[in-house]
This record gives sequence, C-alpha cells and structure tokens, in this order.
Amino acid sequence: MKILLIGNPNVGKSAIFSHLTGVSVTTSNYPGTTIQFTKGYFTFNEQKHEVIDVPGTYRLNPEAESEKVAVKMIEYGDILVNVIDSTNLERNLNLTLQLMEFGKPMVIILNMWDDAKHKGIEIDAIKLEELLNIPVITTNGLTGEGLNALPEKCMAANQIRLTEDTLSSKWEKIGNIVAEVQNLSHRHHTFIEKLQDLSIHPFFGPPSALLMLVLSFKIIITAGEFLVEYTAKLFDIVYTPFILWLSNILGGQGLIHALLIGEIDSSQINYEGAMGVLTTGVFVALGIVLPYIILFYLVFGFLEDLGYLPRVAIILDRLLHKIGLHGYSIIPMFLACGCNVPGILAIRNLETRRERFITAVITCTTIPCMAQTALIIKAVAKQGGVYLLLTFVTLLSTWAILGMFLKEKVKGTTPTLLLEVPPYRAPNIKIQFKKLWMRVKCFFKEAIPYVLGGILIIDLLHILGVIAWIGKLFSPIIKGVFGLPEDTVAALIIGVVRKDAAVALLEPIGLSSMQMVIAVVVLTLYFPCVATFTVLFKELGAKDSAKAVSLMFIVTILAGGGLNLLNRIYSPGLIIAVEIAIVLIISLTLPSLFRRRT
Amino acid sequence: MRKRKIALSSMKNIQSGIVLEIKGGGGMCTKLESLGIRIGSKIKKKSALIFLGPVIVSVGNTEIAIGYGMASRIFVEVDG
Repeated sequence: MKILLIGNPNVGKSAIFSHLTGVSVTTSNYPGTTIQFTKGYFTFNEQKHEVIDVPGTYRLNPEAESEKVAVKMIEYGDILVNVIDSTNLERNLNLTLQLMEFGKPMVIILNMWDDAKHKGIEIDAIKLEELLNIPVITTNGLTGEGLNALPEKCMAANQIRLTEDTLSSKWEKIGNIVAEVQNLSHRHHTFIEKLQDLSIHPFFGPPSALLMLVLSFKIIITAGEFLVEYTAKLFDIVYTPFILWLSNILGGQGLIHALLIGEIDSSQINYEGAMGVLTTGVFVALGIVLPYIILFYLVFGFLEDLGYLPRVAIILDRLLHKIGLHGYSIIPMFLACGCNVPGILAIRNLETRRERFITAVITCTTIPCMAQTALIIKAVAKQGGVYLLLTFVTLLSTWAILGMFLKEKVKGTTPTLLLEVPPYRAPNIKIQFKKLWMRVKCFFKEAIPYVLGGILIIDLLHILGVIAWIGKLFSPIIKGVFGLPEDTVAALIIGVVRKDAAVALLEPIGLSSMQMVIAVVVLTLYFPCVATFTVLFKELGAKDSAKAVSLMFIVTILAGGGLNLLNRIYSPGLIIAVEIAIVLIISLTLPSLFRRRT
Repeated sequence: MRKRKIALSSMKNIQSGIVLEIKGGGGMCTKLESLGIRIGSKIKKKSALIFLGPVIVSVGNTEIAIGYGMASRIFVEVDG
C-alpha cells in the first residue's frame, strides 16, 4: 500500500515519518523546508508499505509548485493520512475537506496533541470521527506517542465521497465542525509566550535578533578556535609520529613523498605549510574545518528547530527589501554560511525568479562557507584583528552593493512577506543529533575527497611547472590590479575546486597583512567552489548562471582592485570606514539614479 | 459603540476586529485565506515593526507576519 502523509506546513509530518520509517529525515520548525518529498518503507503484519512525506501545503489549488506536486502524489497514493496541527484545527480542516474530494481512503492524525492541551484546546476526537466519517487518532509527533494506533486505522479506512461545496459553504461547514468538536479554555500568558512576543517586538525585536546572531557567531568562532588548538595538539601527539615514519620509509624525498607529505622538518611538522595530501590535506579537513562545521550545524540546527529563524526573517524584512528581497531569503543565506550548497538549494522556497536570481548570485558570490571562514580566521587573525574585520566588512559591503544594484537591474517586483510565525518548540535532542550526524556525514562524503584531491592536483601542477605558466599569464591582473605575487595563482586555481584548501595554500606564499586580506576577498568573490557551481547551474539554468559568473568576475576586479587602491592611501581601519560610507551613499542615491533613466 | 473601517496597518496594537474587505487579486486572497484570514475572520493585531516593517497579527491560534504593503490593503472593522 502507498501511504501518503499530507498536511499543512509545520504540523510535524516529518517527525511522524521519521518514527514510522526509521529513515532519518531532517525536521525543521519553519514552513516549506520539506521541499522534496521523501519516501520510506514501513512494515506492518509482515507486509512492506511505502510511506511518502508530501511537501506541506495549505491548499490544493494548483498554483504553486508544491501544490502541483502534492496533487500528483495524491493521485498516486492509496491512503491519505492527513496530519493536522491540533492547535490550529480550523485552518487545517480546509485542506482536509479538499482531500476528501479525491474520494480516497483517509485517516486523520491530530498531531501536537499535548501542545493543544497546554494551550487549553480540547478536541473531541470521537465526535470528529463521527462527523467526517474518517478514523481519527491523536499523537505527539516528536515523541511518537499514539502512532502505534495508525496501522490498524489505515487498514480499516474506507473510501469516502464528499460532494463539492462552494467556497463559502465550505468554511461554514468547517465552522460548524469546529464548533461541535473544539472547546477552548482560558490560560494565562506563559513565560515562553512572553519570550516569543519579545523576539518580534517592534523595539526589542531587532536588538535581540542582533544579539542572538552575534552570540551565535561568537560561540561558533570562540569554541572553534579553542577546538582547533586542541586538534592541533592531538595531531602532534597522534599523527606526527605516523607521518615521520612514512617519510622515513619513502626516503625523505622523491615524487611520492612530495605529493603525500610535502615539505617537513625532520622532527616537527608545520601542517599548514607542508602541502602534502596526507599532511595539509588531512589537517585542513579534519583539524580545522570539521570542528567549525560541527559547531555551526549544532547552533543552526538548534535555532531551526526552536522556531527562531522565521522571526529573524520578519525583523530583517524591511532591510532586505532594499536589496530587492524579502525577509525569507535570509534563510538560504544563513544556510550558505555553513555550506553554500544547501543554501542554493533552499532558494527553491522563494516565490519569484527575480528573488531566486538575486539571492543565488549574492549568496554564492559574497558569502563564504564555514570551511572557508574557518581558514580565513586562521590565516588573517594572526595579522591583526582589524584585518579580519576589514575582510568581513568588505564582503558584507559587496553583498549590500551587489544586492542594491541587482534590485534595480533585475526585472520584476518583490513579493510581500506573508509568513506564519511558529511558536517556540523545545528541540528534541535525538532529532538534533540525527540531523547533525547527517550533515557531518555529508561533509565527509562530499567535501573531504575534494580537499585531498585539490591539494594533489596543485602539487602535480606545481611540479609540472603549469602553475608558474598560468601565473605569468594572469600576472597583469594578479599583480597589477590586486597587488598580489604571481604565486597566488595556485590558490586561485584550487579555489575553483575547494575554497578552504585554497586559503590554506596562501600560507606558504608569505603575504603581507593587506595582501592576505585582498587574496582572501578575491578568493571568496571570484567563483564558487565546483560543488556550489554545479547546484547553481541546475537551479538557475545556463543563461542565468552565465550572467551570475560574469557578475562575479566584475565584482572581484572592482573589490580586489578597490582594496588595493585604497590601501595606498588609507590604513585598514579607515578603509573600513570608507566602505561603510560607500554603502550608505549608494543606498541613498542609487534608486534615484535609476529612476531618472526611465 | 461606533464601528469603524480601517486598514490593518493602521490598527493599534492589541486591537481586535473583523475582516471586512481585502483589496487584492485572487492570488493574494487565496494566500491569505489559506492562512485563515478571510472576510469574516476575527483578527487581532499584536504589533508592527518600525520603519514600515511587517505587521504581526494573531488569527485563531496562529501568529502571522504580513508585509506592510499587504497589511494596508486588508480592511478591518473595529470598535470605537
């Protein structure tokens, strides 16, 4: 039998799916995350049944992509299991009545049953079953309580026929059902609710959001630095002896030695400068990047499941309108801070082509992934705090300016924000760890081979002299515009494959503080890593991707060249001030500049 | 008490009312309806973010954020 889990967004379908099938599905507390449907199997009475988690939808009029997909899946399925949020019965019943029109066997799950009780909402499940002639069970999706009643009810479900109503009579019908079945009792505003209100309060909202953001990043970065020091020591104790032994066996020289181990001292290993696959490659991936990735996803996963992210979207909405986007686009951009690939994939949630294009372009151009950020911090921080600040202020300014420019140039309008604000829900620790595990596993499979491969390729190209040749070819730009030595080209080549390895490659070149900043900025802006580009190409199509790439090159020249130029006149601290001033001036003058044209 | 018709964006915080009219196309109306905002629904404004930011309302048991532009096209009947 093919069982479909179908219901409004954010009702807990994914958690139920997870309990039924045992397959890990990431669950998140904001609508629209299950963008692709997920399939699994569930055994009952020694028979295997297919379970499909249909993307959450409010209704079935075929306007949006997700609704078209939902209708197709309903036609494919045998039983419709309608998951309802018990705290929102009236609204959820809209979909229920629409589902009944398909005439397929149905079962209703009143999920979030304990949440409803906490809110003083009592629903007479038996009465509901009578009125609709559909079996009803009550569950707590997070813990799985109540779900064992599901299989029997599925077997017992009948086909239903519902006459088609006009719109107004449908709502009347729903109103009647709710009146008969639901009973509300008064409760006091709880502390959690006060916190919820605070997060989107007109005065306290924005500063509290800023605080949360700064706090989150501070946690990730501080804990990250601490962990990295620790992993470095770990490497010295555990890994160095192995490498030294290997080096001995290989005779301390030769091609294999150069590729695998690189340049080392006889007793100590500088993992960042060695440039061997087994030395720099392994250390960068496991010792530097992995701690930051774990920390990022811990914090992000927590905020996700807590229900905090839509609130940030609401607070930032007005600001994001200045770059042609609305609040919801902040979520792909946050994801991109961890890894650009899920960030670009999340763009599917945005409504218009214009939004998708603008978000995609500014995300993969200016937002460095956590792996990259980890290495940037390591490389630039030792030059001085002001240089690190300059790097990120430059990237942020580029983000703003590019966004403002695209807002005027890209055709179309920005849709208005219309977003359900989910209540705070305590994240379930088991689900948190499942999510973290999946994401870290993904990193191992997708990223690490590229890092190792990247270092290998660069070493080979270096030995063959190709790097030197390409360096000479591009030297007018690299030296003239950016003020960087020719050797930087090696990093730029590898940056196409993997950005973190590229930043690591800057280390042995010996750049000045400012050169380091310029190199890092150029590496971030000029092109996304190959994994990101593949996804970008699939999401935007050939024409738009080409436009995106050309924009990236232009932006890189302007930003890198600009920094180089400003460096001759100002100190880094002043450059920061100049950049902020430029952003403000552009934000005030750009709209009028473009309006005069038309 | 007198009844007035004002836009959602002009409502005061904590004010309640009943939706009278939605000045929008079919798309906007269906989107609002599926979230529970339609003619006749009871709506309570909770707050609005400064600088013409989104308006936060509660309808039934749901809290919804509506962009200022859209909120100025939803008309609500309020007391007094």
